[in-house]
Amino acid sequence: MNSTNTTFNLLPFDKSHEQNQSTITRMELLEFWHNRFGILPEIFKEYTFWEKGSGKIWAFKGNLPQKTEIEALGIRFTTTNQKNWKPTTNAAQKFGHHATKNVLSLPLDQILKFVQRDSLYLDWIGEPGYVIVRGNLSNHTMQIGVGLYSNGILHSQIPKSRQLHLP
Amino acid sequence: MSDFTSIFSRYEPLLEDHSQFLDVCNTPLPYVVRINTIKTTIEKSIDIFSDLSIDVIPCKWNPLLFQINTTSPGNTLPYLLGWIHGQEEVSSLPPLVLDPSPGDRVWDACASPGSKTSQLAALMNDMGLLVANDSNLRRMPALRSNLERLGVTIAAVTHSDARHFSLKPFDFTVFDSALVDAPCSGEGTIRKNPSALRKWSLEKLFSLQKLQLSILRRAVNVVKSGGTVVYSTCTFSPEENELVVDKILSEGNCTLIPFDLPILSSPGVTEWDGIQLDSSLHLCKRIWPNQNNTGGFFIAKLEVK
Repeated sequence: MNSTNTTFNLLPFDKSHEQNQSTITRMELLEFWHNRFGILPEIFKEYTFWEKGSGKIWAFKGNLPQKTEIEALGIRFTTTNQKNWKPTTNAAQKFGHHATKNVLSLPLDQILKFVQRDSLYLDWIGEPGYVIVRGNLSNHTMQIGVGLYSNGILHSQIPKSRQLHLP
Repeated sequence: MSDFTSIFSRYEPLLEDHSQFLDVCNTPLPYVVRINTIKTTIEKSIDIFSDLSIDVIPCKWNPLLFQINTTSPGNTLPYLLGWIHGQEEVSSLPPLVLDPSPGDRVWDACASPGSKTSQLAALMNDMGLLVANDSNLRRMPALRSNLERLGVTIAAVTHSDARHFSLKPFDFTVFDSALVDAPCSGEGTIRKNPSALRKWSLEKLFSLQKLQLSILRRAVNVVKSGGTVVYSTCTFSPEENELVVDKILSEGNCTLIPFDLPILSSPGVTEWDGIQLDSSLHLCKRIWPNQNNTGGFFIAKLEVK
C-alpha cells in the first residue's frame, strides 16, 4: 500500500470493487446508518465517503479522484475500527434530524450535563449501543451528539475538546 | 496611550480625524458571533440565546451577526452545536464581497482558523467545492475543527505554501473565484490585541508585501478568466494593501472592479509616500476603526482577464 497519512481512499460502492484499499464499502456504511438509526441511504446521495487510515470514515459532499492526498475532506463521519461502529458528534449534529430510532431526547437540565460529559441515569429502556442525542428548547429540536446507552445509563461521547465547562 | 500612536502617525494624511482614530484604537472591541446558517436559523438562535440567558445585541448592518455578552462564547451550547462562530464584524466583509454562488469552486488561500472559509460555505449553502488552504501546520487543527463543528461538508483542506499552490490533488484546472485574506502586520487588530504591533517595522511590511503579492499572483493564476479574486488584510499600511494591488495590476492579468459595502469606508489611496499609484485603486476600500466602531480592514475586488 502506498498510502500516506494524508491519503483519502474513496469507499467503493460494494464488494465487487476488489481493487480498492478501503476496509468497508459505501453499502455497508449506509446499511449501518439505516439499521441503527433508520436513516435512509437516499439522504446521503450527494455524499461520497472516504477512508483515511483504518476505519476512519469521512463524508464529503462532492466528487474527487478516488485516491486523494489531502489534509481533510468534509467531516469525520463514522469510526468503523471497533466492534460497534460509532457515529461522530459532527455526523450526529449534521444528519441526526433524519434519525427515527435509537434517538434520545433530553430536557435542558440533562443536556447541560451531557455536554459536560457527565453520565446520565435515565428512566428509559432502549437497545444498548450508540444513540443520537437530541434536545428540545423553545420548541426547537437540537442535534447534540452521540451517547453510549447501556442498562439505564447514558455515557456522553462529546469529545473532550468540545466539552463545555459551565458554572 | 500605548506605543502604536507613533506608528500610526504615518496615517495622519489619510484620515479626516486622526485623534478620533487613535482614541477608538485604544478601546477594546466587543465579542461578536456569526450565526451559522448551515446548521441553524437566526430565529432558532435568538430563542436559544434567550432560553440560556445569553445576552446578545444584533448588529445593525448584518442580521447574522450579534454582539455577545460573554468573554467565552466558545464555552456555550450554541457554539458546541456549531450554530455560532466568533467572528469580528469587519472580518465578515470579504466573503460577502466575493459573493460565491452554490455550486462554485472556490479557493481560500489562507484559510485558518476558518471563520471566512465557513462563511463562504454558508453563502454557498454548503454546495460546490471549497478548497481551504493554509501554509501553517500549527494553524491546521483549528481550521479543521472549526469547519467540522460548523457542519461544512464541501471543504477540502490542503496544507501548502499558497504561493506555490498545486491543483494536483484535484481533477480540474481552474477555480471560479478565490479569497486571499493575506498574512499581514495586523495593525487593524490593535483593539483586540494591543500587543499586535510589538514587532512592527518597515522592513517587516516590505517582507510581507512580497509574500502577499506572490499569494495574490497565484490566486489570479488559478482563477478562470472572468472570475473574481478578493484580496483583503486586517492592516492599514498601504505597503501591504494598495501597493500590493498596484503591482498585481501592473502585471496585466486582472483589473479592479467596484463593489458596495454595507458599512462606512474610504476609497483606496492612489498616492503614498510620494509614489503615484494606479488611478483605479480608489475602487479598493479601507475600513478605519473610527468609521463604524470596528476593527480595521482593507478589501480589493479583482476580475481575472
